[in-house]
Amino acid sequence: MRTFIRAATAIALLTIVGIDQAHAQTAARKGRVAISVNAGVQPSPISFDSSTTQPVYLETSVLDTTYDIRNGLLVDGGVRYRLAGGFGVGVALSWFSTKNDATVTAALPHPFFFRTPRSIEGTAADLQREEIVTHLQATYAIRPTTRLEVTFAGGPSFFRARQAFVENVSYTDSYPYDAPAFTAASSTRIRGHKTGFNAGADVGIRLSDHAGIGGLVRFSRARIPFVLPNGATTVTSDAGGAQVAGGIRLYF
Amino acid sequence: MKRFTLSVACLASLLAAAALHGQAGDGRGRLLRIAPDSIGAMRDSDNLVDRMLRAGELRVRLERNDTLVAGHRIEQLEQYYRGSRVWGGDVTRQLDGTGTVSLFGTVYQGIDVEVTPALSRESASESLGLLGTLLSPASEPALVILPAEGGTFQLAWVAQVTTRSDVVRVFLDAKSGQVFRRYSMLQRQAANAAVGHGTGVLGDDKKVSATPLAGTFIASDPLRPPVINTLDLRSDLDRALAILTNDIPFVTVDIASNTSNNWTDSAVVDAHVYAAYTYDYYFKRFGRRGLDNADRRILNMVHLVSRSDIFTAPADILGTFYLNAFYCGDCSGGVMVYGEGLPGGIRLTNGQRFDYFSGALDIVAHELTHGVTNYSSRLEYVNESGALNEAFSDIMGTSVEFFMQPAGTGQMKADYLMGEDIAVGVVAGARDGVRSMENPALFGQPDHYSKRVLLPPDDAHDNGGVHINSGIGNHAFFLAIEGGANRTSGIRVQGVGAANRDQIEKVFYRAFAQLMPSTADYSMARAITLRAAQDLYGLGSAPYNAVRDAWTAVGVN
Repeated sequence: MRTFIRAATAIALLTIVGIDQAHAQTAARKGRVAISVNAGVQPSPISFDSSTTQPVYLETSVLDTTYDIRNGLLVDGGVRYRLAGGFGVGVALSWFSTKNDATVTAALPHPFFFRTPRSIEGTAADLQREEIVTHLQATYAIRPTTRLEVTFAGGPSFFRARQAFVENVSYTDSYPYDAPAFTAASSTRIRGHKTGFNAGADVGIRLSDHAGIGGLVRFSRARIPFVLPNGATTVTSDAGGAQVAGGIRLYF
Repeated sequence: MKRFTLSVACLASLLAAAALHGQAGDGRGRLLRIAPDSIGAMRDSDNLVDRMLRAGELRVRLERNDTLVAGHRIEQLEQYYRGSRVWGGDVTRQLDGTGTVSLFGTVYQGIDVEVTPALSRESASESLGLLGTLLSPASEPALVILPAEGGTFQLAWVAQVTTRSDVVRVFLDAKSGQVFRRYSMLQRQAANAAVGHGTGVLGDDKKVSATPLAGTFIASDPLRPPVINTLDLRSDLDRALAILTNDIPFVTVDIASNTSNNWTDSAVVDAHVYAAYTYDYYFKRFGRRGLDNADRRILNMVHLVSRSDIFTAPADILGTFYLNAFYCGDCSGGVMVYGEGLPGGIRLTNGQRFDYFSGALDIVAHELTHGVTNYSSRLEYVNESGALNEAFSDIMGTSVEFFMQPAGTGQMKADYLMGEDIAVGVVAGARDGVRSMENPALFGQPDHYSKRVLLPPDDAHDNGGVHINSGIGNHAFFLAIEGGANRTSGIRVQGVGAANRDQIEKVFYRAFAQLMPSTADYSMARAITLRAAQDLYGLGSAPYNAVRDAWTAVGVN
């Protein structure tokens, strides 16, 4: 991931350097507000486990699920306000969504015998993960050329996430009940929230006095607790990660 | 009666008929023992069976696919003479896709008997009714041809009659109406789903498969393919007998119940759970579906009497409903009855204390196996065929124990003792259990054919010593698995080993439940088990050799 971020940053900078440096420096310096709208990806892999239990046939069944969060769509929008010199403040809102499979294993008590658990394994498909994050940022901008603006930003991030958790499994089970077969997993969406941090850089290229294009590289992170429906189990999952996006810039 | 402890019964004429074996006809009947040992003999026997089938002298009683050898089929045939069944004439034929693989049985030739009875069915019913209650569904006597002494045959009315403490098969002379044969039919051992918790006789925890009903739970297993009901007769012996004799059907309130599904009546728990374990064993080991291989209902009965009444109980009640367990195939469609045992602190003069009989897995499996025999070989419960019947029940009882419990000694451990979980020696020198397959002599059984007892085949003499001579077959089974030397012959056997015990179990199951005719003797049992071993593992295989050597060691050739 670090390699990916470095490469994206280098590409952005090289692109910027190639731009004509002779345009409209005066007009650009007048603007204090920059608005960005981006679309991109959040490619950071996240893996976490959940384990739940419930009474079955006088014993306890154990349901273990491993979730692997992979690449997903990122939509990001933000506004920055330049206070003095290159310093300013900003706020950004990002929305990330993805659907991934989870591996489910369960130890099911036998209906006839104590201490004789039966094992089943399967996949829960298309479990949705959604993150909506508000990033508060202190910013510092530099302008290597009249058209180019590079803004470094960092600050706290307020994560709200929704994760589909496997709640139960269904299986076929028939006499002599020694080999149940997994058929499906039912899930429920759980909300969690937590404060984390963000740090990143935004590169904007003015195409006119008030419009341009740009790219964003950001890393944000929080560990979000999800309280499962039984109320007794809390699963903690990393949220955020590296974000790479591109879009339009508006300057006022 | 097929009893766990010493018991009763007979079929004298079969002894006489057996003596005919090999004799040519001299105007009288001839018993033909079918156990071909060469290709030519097999062809001849097969042709004979085909001829008799075409002539209607043999009829197919059962025909099933072989659950142990794919592509094979088993036929069980019964002999008839001019429309009446010939008692003891039956053949079991194993076929594959190309022809006959094995044949075992007994048929009678040269039958010449008048088949019109002088005694009407109504008169026979009346006579039999004086002895007790005729059992339904065969509540009417049936006309049969009975092999008798000297190679003659007798037309007889046969029926099963219940008395207060027994179920007896009675043969009436169809001419005179006299009873000329009578023996016990009780096969005795001398237990929308709601899984509940149960405490067994030995205080162990078990899961009880129960059915929720109207705010309570009843001991009716909804999780297994057959209905398994356990009745709690609450010491109402009169009602129990009425149910056993089919005078009244059992109703829901007769089924043991518990309001919390936390079962503490240990006799109920173990009868219910162990019958289910036995079904599980037969299904998992052999693919057999219960008593009749078609998921017939399994019915257990406990608490027919009260321990507190033991000191006023008549001897026959004491021996039947306290210190015994039995299977009755014609009672209420087939029922396992488990004795109440002795009150705490009371022991027999031999120093043994007896707990609820349902508390021993091997006893429950033994009784249920009598039901399997009832629906398969129908081994006559008298003399050697009766001893084989008993031996098969002990063999399967022990096998279920090894399947469900860890090997070892003591209670709730798998071993070669029968009934050790509920028959416990409580004084010095007293033994646990009621029979030993490893050393039959410990409980007065022969471990060698030369030591078999020859008793009158009536219910006063254990049906000809069925619970005594079973020791020979029991010990052969033990030697085929564990190996060792027979104490009488000194012949050593290389067993297949405990890890391969399933091989010998399958051989004996196949032989006894699939290939054996009803009048088999020990010699035929040897031939049939070897055939079964050959079918399953091949001639000269380790199981084949172990079975062969085990029979030789116990003197059965």
